[in-house]
Amino acid sequence: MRLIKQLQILGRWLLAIGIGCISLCACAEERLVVLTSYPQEMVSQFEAAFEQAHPQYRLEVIWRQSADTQKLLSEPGSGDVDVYWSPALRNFLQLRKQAQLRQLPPIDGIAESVHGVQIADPDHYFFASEIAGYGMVVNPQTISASGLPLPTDWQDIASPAWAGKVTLPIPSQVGFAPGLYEAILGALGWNDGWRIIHQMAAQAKLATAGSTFVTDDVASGNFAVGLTIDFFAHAAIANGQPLKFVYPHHVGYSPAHIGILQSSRHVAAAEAFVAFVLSDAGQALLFHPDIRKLPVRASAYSQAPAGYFNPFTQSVSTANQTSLETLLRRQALTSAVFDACITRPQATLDSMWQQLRQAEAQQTGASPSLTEARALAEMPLISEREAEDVHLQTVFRARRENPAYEAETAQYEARWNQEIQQRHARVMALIQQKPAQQTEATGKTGQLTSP
Amino acid sequence: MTKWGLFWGACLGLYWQGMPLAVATDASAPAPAYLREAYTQPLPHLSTSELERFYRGRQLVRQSWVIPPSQDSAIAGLGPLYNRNACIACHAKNGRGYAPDGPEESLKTMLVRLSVPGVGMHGGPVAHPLYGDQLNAFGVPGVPGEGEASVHYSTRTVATPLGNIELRQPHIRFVQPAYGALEPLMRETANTGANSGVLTSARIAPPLYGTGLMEAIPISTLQALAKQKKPAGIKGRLNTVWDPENQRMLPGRFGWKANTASLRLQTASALVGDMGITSQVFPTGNCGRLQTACLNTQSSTVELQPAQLDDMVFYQQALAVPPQRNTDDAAVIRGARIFRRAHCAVCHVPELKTGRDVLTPLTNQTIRPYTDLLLHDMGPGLADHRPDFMASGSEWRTPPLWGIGLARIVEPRAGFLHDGRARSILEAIYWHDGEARASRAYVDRLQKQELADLLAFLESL
Ligand code: HEC
Ligand code: HEC
Repeated sequence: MRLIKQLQILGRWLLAIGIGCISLCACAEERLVVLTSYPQEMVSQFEAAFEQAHPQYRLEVIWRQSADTQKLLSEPGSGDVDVYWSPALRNFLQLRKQAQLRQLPPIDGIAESVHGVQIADPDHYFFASEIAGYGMVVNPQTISASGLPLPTDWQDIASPAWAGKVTLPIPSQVGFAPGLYEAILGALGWNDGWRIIHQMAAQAKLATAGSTFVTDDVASGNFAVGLTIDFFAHAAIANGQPLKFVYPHHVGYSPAHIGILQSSRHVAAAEAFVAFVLSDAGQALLFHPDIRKLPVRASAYSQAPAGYFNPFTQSVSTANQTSLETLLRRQALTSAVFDACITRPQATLDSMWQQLRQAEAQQTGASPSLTEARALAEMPLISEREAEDVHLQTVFRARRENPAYEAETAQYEARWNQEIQQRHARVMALIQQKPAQQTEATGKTGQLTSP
Repeated sequence: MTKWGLFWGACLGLYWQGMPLAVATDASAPAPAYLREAYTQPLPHLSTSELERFYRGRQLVRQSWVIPPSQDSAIAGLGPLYNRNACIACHAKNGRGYAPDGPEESLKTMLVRLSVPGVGMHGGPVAHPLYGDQLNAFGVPGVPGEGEASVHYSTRTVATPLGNIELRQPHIRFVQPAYGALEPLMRETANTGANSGVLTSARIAPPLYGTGLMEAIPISTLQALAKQKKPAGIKGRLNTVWDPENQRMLPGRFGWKANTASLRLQTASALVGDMGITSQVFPTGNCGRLQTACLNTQSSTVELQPAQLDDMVFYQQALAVPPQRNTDDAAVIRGARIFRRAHCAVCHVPELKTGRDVLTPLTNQTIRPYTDLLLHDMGPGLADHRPDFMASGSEWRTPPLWGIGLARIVEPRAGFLHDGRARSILEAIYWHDGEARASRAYVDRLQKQELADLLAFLESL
């Protein structure tokens, strides 16, 4: 009985398909596909507000990690994507190079640079849609409980007083972090920058792209300071976490961008979306407590919550980020260097620095061997000249795409590993030299002879 | 330590115990910012490894999933047909969703269940032969989305001691169904009682916190609640639903009609039904029998790793319930009394005990969920006329009320009742009918102050 009834129903529906197909074509709303790597909290706000402003368009947001978009976009028709909207400058530069982006008309009131740092494409193949700044998320309570002053710049957290209190992201694993270290190197210069990074890393816990948030780690008091990007901290603060975010004196910025794909078949809709994101209303959505990014439209700041950081009026940025390419060119190389001298030897690093600092604390007079040990421990693995080598930058940047590059980088890495090992051994030897002589001299004379 | 510090002592296991219980009742004062995260906190006393698991699960519940093929295979599997690409797209901050305010607005945190009349295998609904049991608005490239549902309202004004309120009754229409007409007999399926065409049920996302505790309530407790003789014509029965994984019937607990037996099944069915992600529980995907493009695109291997499902379930199990606030407030105390006198507490049972659970913090707990997890006939106004296992077209599971007072702090548009038609707790109360008619009549007799007290109590939850 039941079967017959179900068959009857099925028949009726099959009949309906025929009728249905006729009405298949006319679409009530024009569909618009936006590809992004933004978190859902941000997507939800823009989706709802855009739909309200433009009910004639139906927004479909496709999500992908930045590293996972090239393949999709290189398909014929760019995988149906109309608009690409992401903090992924590299992808935008690549798309532009491949002539996959449409040139856009100029848009009034949208910043194309901040304090001399270019953030948008000069030919308007893509615009900056928002910026974010690097800095430190701090737990003021933990810091004051340990009797330390609130840091105001990178150097402030490099001293041994901060041992165990700092967490640093690993740039090769945490999406935003390469730009952070470039910001430090940009602000302090290559040598001083690495000196500070080594000192911080000597006493820090390294954070991977794991599942805990740096803001949770700092808010819970597990750490007093975390190096991070502003919106993570500001969103956590807007959701009640007892944190502060410190912008260093020279803020390094990370722009996000928006552009329309050349292959888009919904150009009017795509233009409406871009215009919306860059409008006062769209830019003001960045103030939402779950987003907290920095608008590129200066006029939008008049709607900002009290105390909101305004990069146009408040802080100058690192002087050497002058073109979009310079923001990126060295990042992969820098991250590889970081892994070689900090991530991989982390275990030995900890004890090496501990002993070095202990020896220094016990030292009573000048100690050339300790001076040498410290200089060695803080020295950049490669020189600034090497870091500017275009070939070296290229092989590290494109290692995943090119097996020859991969082989070459592997060689570099093997050599670096060895070099770091030797360096550590030498530092340890230099440290050892001292106590032997000091115990004999009972540390009184401070007359130590260097080797 | 400041109240903020205490609140965020979560990771130290201090959470909630240290929560400030007095939050300003002054409506003009902005709510403290930490309350926006009230639904995302872990239970106290989780071990370090449990916390790690909680965070892994959190990452997956927050994850935006990716259309395959993708180099991020661990998070790929969205589609071929889907509604949204993340759990939190519907359950924002683990809270509830909302209904669109009119036909122009798309369904963002809501879905429409579909079926045709009849009883399917194991007593469940009979899926629509073309569209399956849920309308999926989106398809991956090459697979047309199924079309959209739009919500139209008819409204009526009701006078209450606190002023007039507008009650809106939703009607679902389908826009451009892509695989043929959904409804050959009627162009519009209002929730009007016609039983000849397609059966639809629009439902907003309910909140996720506390579900682990709801799962830990012993079946015997629920059975006893169902048997208990109740006043004022109130009945209440357990739904009995199919567990496809273990091939058995079980009492239903989750979903607006308690049509799902466990968090595991609910999570796996959300993955496959709302996002098109297959798991070992639902390995075959969500394409209809006649949706060839979908079937041709459907991955033949299971997309979700077993450990990922476990972690997602664990995360939800371990989500804490925000404690009641302002318990010393005179209005709240008076409101709680009215809540009992109006027989609200017969269905919204204030206190229950959990039994043994795999997770220690869920075991033998006295909890205050304000639900009996039973089905009640709520009258024709709320009926969707779409039976779901034992639940008739007018029966709904009593939703838990814990944490409800924070709903609009977490999501300013949060809706109430199964289809989000109520924009306030007051509206939700005025929709009560059927078995709750006597309760509703009691509310009708309340003075202005008494009604305000009842609301103050509900807002304190
Ligand atoms: C398209 C929106 C949407 C998405 C995406 C979604 N849900 Fe839901 N969720 C709902 C709706 C609607 C219900 C109620 C279902 C019903 O009544 O049948 C629900 C119910 C639930 C429940 C039951 C809660 C209760 O109190 O009964 C849980 C648990 C849940 N969802 C978890 C998840 C998880 C985990 C995910 C991601 C894997 C997810 N949901 C994705 C809309 C969604
Ligand atoms: C007969 C059982 C019953 C009684 C009595 C009852 N309720 Fe309910 N209540 C329900 C059910 C079932 C729903 C869900 C209905 C729906 O979603 O369509 C509900 C929904 C609600 C909601 C909305 C919950 C949500 O998650 O959206 C509130 C608030 C509420 N009830 C408060 C009350 C109050 C106050 C009273 C007493 C005046 C009361 N209820 C009496 C069964 C009952």
